[in-house]
Amino acid sequence: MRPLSVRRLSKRFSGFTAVDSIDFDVSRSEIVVIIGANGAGKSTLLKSIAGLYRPTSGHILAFGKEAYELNGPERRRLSFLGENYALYDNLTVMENMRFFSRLYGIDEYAGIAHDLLKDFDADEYAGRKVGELSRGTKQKVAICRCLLNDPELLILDEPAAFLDSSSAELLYRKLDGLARAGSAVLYATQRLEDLYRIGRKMLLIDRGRRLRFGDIGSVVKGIRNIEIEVTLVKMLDAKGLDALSRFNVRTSGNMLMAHVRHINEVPRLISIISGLGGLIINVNSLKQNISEIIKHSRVQ
Amino acid sequence: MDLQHAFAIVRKDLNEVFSSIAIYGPMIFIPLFFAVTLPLFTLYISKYAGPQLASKLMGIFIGSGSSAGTLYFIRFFSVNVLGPVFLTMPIITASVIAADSFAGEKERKTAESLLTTPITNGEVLLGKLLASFIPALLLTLLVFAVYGSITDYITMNAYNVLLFPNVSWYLMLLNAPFLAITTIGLVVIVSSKAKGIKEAQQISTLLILPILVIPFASIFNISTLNTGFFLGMLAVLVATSVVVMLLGMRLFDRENFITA
Repeated sequence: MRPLSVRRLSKRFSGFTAVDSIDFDVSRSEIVVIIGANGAGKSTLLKSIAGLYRPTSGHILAFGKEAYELNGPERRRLSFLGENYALYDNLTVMENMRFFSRLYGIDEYAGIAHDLLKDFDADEYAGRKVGELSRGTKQKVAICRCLLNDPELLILDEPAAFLDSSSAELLYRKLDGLARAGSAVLYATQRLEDLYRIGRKMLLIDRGRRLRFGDIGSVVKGIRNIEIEVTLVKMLDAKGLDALSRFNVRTSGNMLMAHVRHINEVPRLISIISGLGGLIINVNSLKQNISEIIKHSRVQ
Repeated sequence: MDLQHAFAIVRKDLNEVFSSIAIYGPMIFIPLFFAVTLPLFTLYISKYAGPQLASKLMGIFIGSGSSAGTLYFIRFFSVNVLGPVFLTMPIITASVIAADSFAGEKERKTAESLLTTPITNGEVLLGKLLASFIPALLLTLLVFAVYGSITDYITMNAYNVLLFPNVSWYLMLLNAPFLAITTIGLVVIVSSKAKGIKEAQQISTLLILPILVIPFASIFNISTLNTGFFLGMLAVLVATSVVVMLLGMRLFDRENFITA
């Protein structure tokens, strides 16, 4: 049975439609990235799927049952982390872990909790009160909290928002591992680097409506006006930069920012830089604005 | 219903409340301060004005300087005036803890993670009810015991008489659990609409005011705090606590709790 099927889901709050007739499915081992600008309806959609909101119309079937009606044991199979870290500030990290483990019916929680905290380099904070931790560390603990029950359906709302890049990388790897083990992951974000790093499928929503749902590649392929960051061992000389003038290049230290009109031009850009003797350390994730994707999808 | 879930809530809520002296300090030490000082205050007044006040308050004539008058005044003041004052204890304690427990989850945004776990609404309510009820009741018993013991110590030394425990005392204590339950039920109802802890706590004034009217009703001879009075009060409170808790359970809804 599919972990999640959303059918013509709408959610209205006193006249305002936050989610408007959305359909999509998530299968086992899939990571679906939900992407949309602020106020697009991502959080409302995720809270509805987590069973916190009752749909105004339509259905959310989690493991074949209406999400809002899931009983206790059925909810053991899913986990939700919203925009807030949602931990108890006056309790220590391990007291939080113990509390949530009890609710999930996990008796031997200490080993699991320590392992998760170690995975996120947060084990040293196990005895500290959550309220005393930095926002980034709280977020790591919150992520560990929602992994305690080894969920079959993991619902995350902007989980990397407060993480530094190395912690975000740890999260991506963890999610990859979960998906390989058969879990389904829903991951809402505004960060395109999250989308490209972990997503296989994306659901693009705008003003509560589904714009696109499918493989990331098929959506990204048609995007125009993309900014690429290329980090070099040594910056090209003036002649080399002249040769790249059609890409509207800008430089900052050893970093070169170039505009390409279409994603197909990226390999060409890289090959020109290499041909000019540039030693490339890193080509950063596409830096186009999320509104570009939305605009492109609306046109389609 | 999985009682382990409810007990996990009790333990977590009590851990939170007693994790900082700033939260539990005033709740415990202020009533204890009054439980110690008010008997001394009662003795002081009774020594200097007991017979006269007893004459005025109860319309009886007792000769000036009479120890019977002094004792009469102490008994009247301890049971009819201070007893109801201490009956506000379960209301205040329960409202402080319950508001922190229910509205606090909403204010601190922890309700989202709590309500997506396998816990049911009934288990949440039971856990939070117990987490507020147990300390409220224990603290009330402690304050009554301290107050009664000091009063007894004073009257035993001065007049060779023990005032407490007595029937009125037991009946007042019998009302305390239902006052706490009614308070918690009202906090549950208000918390489904209130945005924060302070709003939810305001509800306790609804119950405190009628309780504080009791001593005045007694002083001005409007009502006599006898067995009938306390049993009547108990009947009203039992009925109210049942109605309020049922209403609270009915109104407790995950979506309302998150969005209100």
